[in-house]
Amino acid sequence: MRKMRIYRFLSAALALSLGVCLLSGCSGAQGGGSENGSSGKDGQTGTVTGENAGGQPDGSFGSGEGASEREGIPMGRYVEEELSLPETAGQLSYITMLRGRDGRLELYLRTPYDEGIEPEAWRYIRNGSEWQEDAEWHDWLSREIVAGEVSGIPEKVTYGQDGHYYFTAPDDDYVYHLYRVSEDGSVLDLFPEVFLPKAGKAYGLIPSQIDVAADGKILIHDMDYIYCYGDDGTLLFTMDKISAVSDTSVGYIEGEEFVTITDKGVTRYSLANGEKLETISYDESIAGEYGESNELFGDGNGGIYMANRKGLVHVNRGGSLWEQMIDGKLNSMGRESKHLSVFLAGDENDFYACFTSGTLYGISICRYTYDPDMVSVPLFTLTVYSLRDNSTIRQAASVFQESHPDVLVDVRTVAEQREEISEETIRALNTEILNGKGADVLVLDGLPADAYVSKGVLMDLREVFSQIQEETPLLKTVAEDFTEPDGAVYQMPSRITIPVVTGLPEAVHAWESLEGIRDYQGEKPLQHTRTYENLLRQIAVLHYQELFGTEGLTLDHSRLLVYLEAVKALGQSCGAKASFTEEEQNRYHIGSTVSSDGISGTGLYFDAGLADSGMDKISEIMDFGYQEVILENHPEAAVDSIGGIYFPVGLVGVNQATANPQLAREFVKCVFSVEVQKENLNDGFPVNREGLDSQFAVAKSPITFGLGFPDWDYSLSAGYPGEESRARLSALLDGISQPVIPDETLMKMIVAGAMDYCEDRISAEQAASAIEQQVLLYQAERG
Amino acid sequence: MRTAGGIRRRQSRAAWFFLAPSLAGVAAFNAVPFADVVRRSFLDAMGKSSVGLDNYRSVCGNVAFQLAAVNTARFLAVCLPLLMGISFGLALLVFRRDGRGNFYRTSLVLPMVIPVAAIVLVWKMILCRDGLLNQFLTWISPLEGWSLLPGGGVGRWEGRWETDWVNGITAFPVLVVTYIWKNAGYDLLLWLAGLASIPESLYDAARVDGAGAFARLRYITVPGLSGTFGLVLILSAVNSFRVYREAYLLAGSYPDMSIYMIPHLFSHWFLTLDVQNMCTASMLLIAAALSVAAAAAAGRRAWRRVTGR
Repeated sequence: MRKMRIYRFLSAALALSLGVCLLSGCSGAQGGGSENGSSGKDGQTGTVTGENAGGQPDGSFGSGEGASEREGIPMGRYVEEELSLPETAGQLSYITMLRGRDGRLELYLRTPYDEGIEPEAWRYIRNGSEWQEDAEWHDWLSREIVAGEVSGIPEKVTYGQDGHYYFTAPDDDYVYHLYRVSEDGSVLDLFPEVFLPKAGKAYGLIPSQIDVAADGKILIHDMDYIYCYGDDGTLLFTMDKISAVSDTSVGYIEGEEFVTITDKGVTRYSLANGEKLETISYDESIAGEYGESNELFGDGNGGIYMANRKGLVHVNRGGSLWEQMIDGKLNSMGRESKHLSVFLAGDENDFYACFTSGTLYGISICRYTYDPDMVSVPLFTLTVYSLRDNSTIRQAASVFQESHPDVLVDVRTVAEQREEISEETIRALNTEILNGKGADVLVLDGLPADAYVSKGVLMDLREVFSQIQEETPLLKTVAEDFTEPDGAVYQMPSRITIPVVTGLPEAVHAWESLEGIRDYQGEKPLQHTRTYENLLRQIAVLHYQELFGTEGLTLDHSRLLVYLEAVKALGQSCGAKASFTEEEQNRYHIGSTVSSDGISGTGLYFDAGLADSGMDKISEIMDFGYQEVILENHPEAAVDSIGGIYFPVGLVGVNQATANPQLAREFVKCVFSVEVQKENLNDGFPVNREGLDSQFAVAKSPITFGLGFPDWDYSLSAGYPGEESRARLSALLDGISQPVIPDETLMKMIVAGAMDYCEDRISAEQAASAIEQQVLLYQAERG
Repeated sequence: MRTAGGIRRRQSRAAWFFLAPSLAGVAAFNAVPFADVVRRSFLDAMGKSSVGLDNYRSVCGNVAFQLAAVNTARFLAVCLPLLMGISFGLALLVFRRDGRGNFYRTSLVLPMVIPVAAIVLVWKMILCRDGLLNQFLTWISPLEGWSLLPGGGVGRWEGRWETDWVNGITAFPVLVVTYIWKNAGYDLLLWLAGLASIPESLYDAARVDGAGAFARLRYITVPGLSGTFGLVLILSAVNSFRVYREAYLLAGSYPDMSIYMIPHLFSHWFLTLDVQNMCTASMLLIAAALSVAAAAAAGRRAWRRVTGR
C-alpha cells in the first residue's frame, strides 16, 4: 500500500511538472513584444501605444521621457549628411566622383547629352565644405579636344594607383579611346587597337570601368569580362565578372589584388596571374538588385566594403561573415528615386556617396559619419504591408525615416511584381487583422479594400487628407473619387496611370463604346492584339462601369453580350487566339504575358501599319515619348484617353487597430507630400498637384529609348517628350474622371467563361449565361 | 476502514485528475472556439456590436449559401450511400480470416496515403481538355459531331474530344468518383474490422443449419455490423467535407455551379472578412446536422419499438 502511495505521488508530481512545462512553453518569453512589429526592436522596450505613444507632436521619439528608456540600448550609428553641390550642378550631367591625387574628392560633370549643346566638362575639387571649380582642367580638356588629342568628353575617369589619371572617351565613330594624362598635362592614347571593332562586329570594346594598378597594369571592364593589359597593350589575362545589364561595372584594386563581383559572390583575383584567390558569397538580404548596382572598395587591410541600396556591409580578410555598417533603410541609400553611383571611404572614419536621379540630372552627394549618441537601431517600428513592391511607398519610407530617426519603417511585400497573389496570402493577412494585429499601414492594391472599408478595418483619414488638401492639394478628381458620401476617407491612391489610344480619329472614337469596337470597319484591325485573354481583360477594364456598374456589383446581360461580340469581332479581325504554341510565339513575336488590365502596349503596331489604332498605359511622362514620335510619323493620327478612365495605384489605408495611429497618419502624409510625389519612380503619375506640376516642369532628359522587331524591319525610337506633347499629356491627366480598379476575380470569371466562345465552341448567349451565373454567385457571396 | 463510497470517490477524483489535461485541451480548442462562434453569429463582422438575428436572416436569404448547402446535401446524399455500398462490397470481397488477400487490401487503401496534390495532378492529366480521357475517347469514337448530351457540352469538336471534364456538367460526377476512389479504402478498413469482430462460430452454426451465403449475410453479417455502420456513416460524412481540397485543386475557387460547396463559400467569406456569416452558417449547419441525428435516433427508437429488437 505504501508503495502504491509513492507511485501515486510520483505520478502526480510528474503530471504537475508536465503541466508547468507546457504552460511555460506557451508563455511569451519576451513579454510585450508583438508579432506585427509594432513593438520595440529586438525585444527592447518601447511599444508605441495610444495617440502619438508618448512621442513628440512632430512624430519624433528622441527626447524627454523617452530618453530614459534608452538606458542599456546599444548606441552608435552612421548618420547621413547631404553635402552642398557646385552651383552649376543642377544644369549639368554627371560623369563620376572619385578620390584623386592626394586623396582629394573630385566631381566630374558635363553638359547635358543634347545635340544642340557644345559638349564641355568640368572638374570640381572638394575643399573643406565647398566645391572649387578646377578651371584649369576645363580649359585643358577643351584645348585637347579642339586640338584632336582627345576624342571627346570623358565617360569613365579613374585615378590610377600609378599616380596618373586615366579616362575613356568615344570618337565620332563610337570607337572608344583610353587616355593616360601625365602630370605635365600631356595625353597618351593607349593601345587604340584594343578598342577597334572586331571583324564582323559593328562596335568595338565599350569600356564600362577602368582600373590601373601601381605597376601599370590596366584593367578594362566590358559587359562580361575584365581584361588585364600590360603597359604595352599586351593582353595578360582575362577575369570573370558578373554579366552587366548597364554600362557600369564594379571592382577595385588593392595592392596586388583585384576584387569584383562574380556569379558566385565577391571574388578576389591575383593581379600577378589573374588567378582566383577566393570568393565570398553573400545572401539576398544584402545584395543589390543586380551585380553592377553594388559598389566595392577596400578597407586598406584586405577587408572588403560593399555598398548598395540595402546599405553598407563589410567583411574582413579571410572572413565570410558580412557585417552591416549602414542600414540603407535609414537613409538615402534605400531611396527609390536615387541611384547609388559611387561610394567611397573618407579619411576620418567616414564615407561619401554620390547618387544620381533617373534622368541623370540632379545629383546628390552624402557623407556618412559615425554618431555615438544615436541609437544603433530605431526603437520603434512602423509596419507597412504591400502585396507587391511599390516604389512610391519605399520612397516614402526612406523620406519618413529621415525625419523620424527613431522609427524604422518596415515595408513588407509578399510577392514579385508579376507573381500571382494566392488567396492564402490574403487569408493570412485577414487572420492578423481579425486578431487586432496586422500592419499599421496597408497598401490596398490587390486586397479586398471594399470589404475592409465596410468591415471597419480601415481608419477614417478625413482629417489627414483635409490637412493635406489645405497644404499641398491632391488632384481634385482623385480626392473626390476616394471620399465617401459621408466625407470619410479610407483609402487614397498614391499614383495613377492612364490608358491612351493613338490612331486614326475614327478608330480612336470607336474605343469609346462597345458597339464602336464591335462594329468598327476600317482598312486594318482596330488594334493588333493576338491574345484573347488580353483582349477580354482590356475591353472589360475600359468599359468596367458599363458592365458591372459603379459599385462593381451588377451585371447587365445585354451589355455582356455586346461586350463578348466586341471582343470576338476585334479578335477575329487581328487573328487573335486563346493560346499559342511556342513556335507561334517566336514567329509572331507574341509574348505569353497577360497583364491584369490587358493593355499590352499596342501603339507601335499602329505606327508599324498593322492596325488603325493602338493602346498604351502611360505611367510617366517618358512613356508619352512614343506617342509623340507616332504622331510625328502619322500627322493624321489622334491621341486620346478613354472616357476619362484612370487606374489608381498604391492605394494607401491605415489599419484601424494600429498601435501607432499618429505615426501611421504621419506616414500617410509623407506618402502624399510633395517631396515624395514629385519624384518620377516609373510607377505612375503623382496625385499631388504640385508634385505633378514639378514633374511636368522638367524640360529635358538625356534618356532615349527604342523598340523594334528585326524580322519586320521595324523600329521606333523616342526620347523625352517635348513641350507640346507634355501639354497634351497634361490635358489628358486633367480630364480624368473615372477610377477603375478591376476586380481580379471578376476578370478571371470573364476570361474563363468567354474563352470557349472566342474559340467558337459555344455561342455568345451560352458564354454570357456561364459568366453571368458565376458573377451572380460572386455577388451573392458579398451579400 | 474504507467504505465502498470512499473508494469510488477517490477513484472518481483520480479519473478526473487524469482526464483534466484532455478536457482542458478540448475546452481550449473546441468548446471555447465553439462558444465564440455562437457569440459571433449574433455580432457584426468585427465582433463589436450586436445585430440580433440579422446574420441569420441574411445568411438564410443568401443565394450563395443556398446553392452551397443544396450542393453539399446533394453530394452527401449521392456519395454516402455509394461510398458505403462500394466499400462494404469490397470488404466482403477481400475479407479473409486466414490473412490472405493482403495485396488487395493494400491496393484499395493506397489512394488514402497518396497526397491530394499528387492525386489532383493525375486527375488533371486525365480529365483536362488535352487529357488522356479525351484522347482515348477520340481514338474509340470516330463519329464526328457525336455528343453524350444534347447541346454538345460533352462530345467531339472539330474531330476531337475536347471536353473539360472538371468544369462542365460532368464536374459533379467527376468529384463523386474522386471522393469514392480516395475514401473507399478507409471505409473498407472499418468494415473489415467490423467483419473480423463477428464470431466465426455463428457462421459455422448457420452453415450447419443449412443457411446459404445470402442468408448468412442478411441474418449474421448485416446485424453484426450495425455498430460499424454508424461509425462508417459518421466518418464518411466528416470526410465528405474534405472533398473541398480536391474540388479546389481541380477546378479553382469558383468551380462549376454543381460542385460549389459550403467550404468554397467559407473560403470566400474569409477573404472578405465576413466572419459573422461564417459563424452563422456554421450554426445553421450544426443545427441541420443535429436535426438529422435526432431524426435518425427517433427513427431508430421507433424501429426498435416496432420490431421489438
